[in-house]
Amino acid sequence: MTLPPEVHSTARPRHSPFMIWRWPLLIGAASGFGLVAALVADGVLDAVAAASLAIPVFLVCWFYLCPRKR
Amino acid sequence: MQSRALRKWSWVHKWTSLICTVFMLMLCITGLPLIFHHEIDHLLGAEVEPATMPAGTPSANLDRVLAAAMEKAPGKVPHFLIWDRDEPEVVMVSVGPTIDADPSKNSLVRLDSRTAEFLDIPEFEGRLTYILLKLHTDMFAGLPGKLFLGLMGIFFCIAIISGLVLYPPWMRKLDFGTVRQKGRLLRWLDWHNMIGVVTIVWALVVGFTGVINTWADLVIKIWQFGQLAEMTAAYKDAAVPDKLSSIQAAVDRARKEMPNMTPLFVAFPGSILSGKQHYAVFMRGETPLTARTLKPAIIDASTGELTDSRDLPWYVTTLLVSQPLHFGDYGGMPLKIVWALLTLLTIVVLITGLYLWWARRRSRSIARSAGRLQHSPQTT
Repeated sequence: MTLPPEVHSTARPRHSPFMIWRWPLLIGAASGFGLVAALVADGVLDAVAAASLAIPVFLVCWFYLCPRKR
Repeated sequence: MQSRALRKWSWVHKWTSLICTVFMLMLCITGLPLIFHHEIDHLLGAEVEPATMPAGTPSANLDRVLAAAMEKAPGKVPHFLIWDRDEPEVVMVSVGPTIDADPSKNSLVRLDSRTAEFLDIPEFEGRLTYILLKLHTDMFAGLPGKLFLGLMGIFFCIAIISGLVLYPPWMRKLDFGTVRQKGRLLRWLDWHNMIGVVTIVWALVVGFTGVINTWADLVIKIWQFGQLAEMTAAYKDAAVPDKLSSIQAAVDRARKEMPNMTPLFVAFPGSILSGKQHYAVFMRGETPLTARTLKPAIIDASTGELTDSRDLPWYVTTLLVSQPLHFGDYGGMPLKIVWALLTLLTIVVLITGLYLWWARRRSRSIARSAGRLQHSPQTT
């Protein structure tokens, strides 16, 4: 697979696997928790589940409104 | 990762995505309104609402409810008596021309569970939600359609996993959430990667539970010929009794056996979910999790005696627990709204993926044409 020159550029240091996976893992864990929480109990956990599952939506809106450009 | 391995994963991602994208788009577009099917049906006035009564109004005798339902469906026989999970004041009787007729073609007689008053026999086939549901579950093609969509779901899950494998090489020098502005292709690639990775757990769970749901008919058949046949083995040659014992007594007997559970539906003798001689009263738990799992009580329809009751096998329980995780209907309206927003994000991932494939293909073909033009001998 040919990666674009920006990816190969030596101008920026490479991220460690931890840096690459840090946010996806945190968001994934929150989504997993949200999916299970509402199944386990009603009431407060329903709200917590919706909030946890809404994190990806919030992030996409955030990056759309305040783009991190390069 | 070795570039050879990367190329292989890239090939897997490209082809599994390309095969399933059109069907996944159709599933997302039809699934989106189905999240709110109850609200849409209410809004379109498709169903008669039960009268408002004080909380705690006792339920009517089920034999009276059944008699009222059959009065409205002359010449038909009852297959199931079902309590509406979302509206406990509504009870439905599913009726068909004969007891062994295909239950998917049954009519539903809706009644007020407190007064046994007839509400309506909704016409499902003309409804918007029915058309969307049929498209979403089997594309009007029955079991083959379901299994085909299940296969597309498997491709979708593989596309997600291969996309995850391809994610780190692209992000080696990019901070999370970066969207490069150097050209449309890079911009869409960054959006595709970012939205894809933040929705990955949800998409994988909804995709995989969707695949499990496409096997529902097969799972029910396996249960019918397995555990149900075992529970009613002693009566396998018996005919459906001419006169059935009281359905209210059967439900009361099941309640006595399982005091911490609530009846969800009763399958009548001879229907696909019971033996020829028995009522099967399916009880559900009262906590959010146990409300999704069922336990049948097999009641002799001649004597009203309980003959067997067992926990459902793991494969039926898996199917039942996977359903809310696919429908997103287990956490009230806020969860439904989040479910809809995540579906919209999945649509964006699908469309950007398709666009990236098309744009790269086009730029490669332009580059090839330019190369051919450069190397072609000049004519004078």
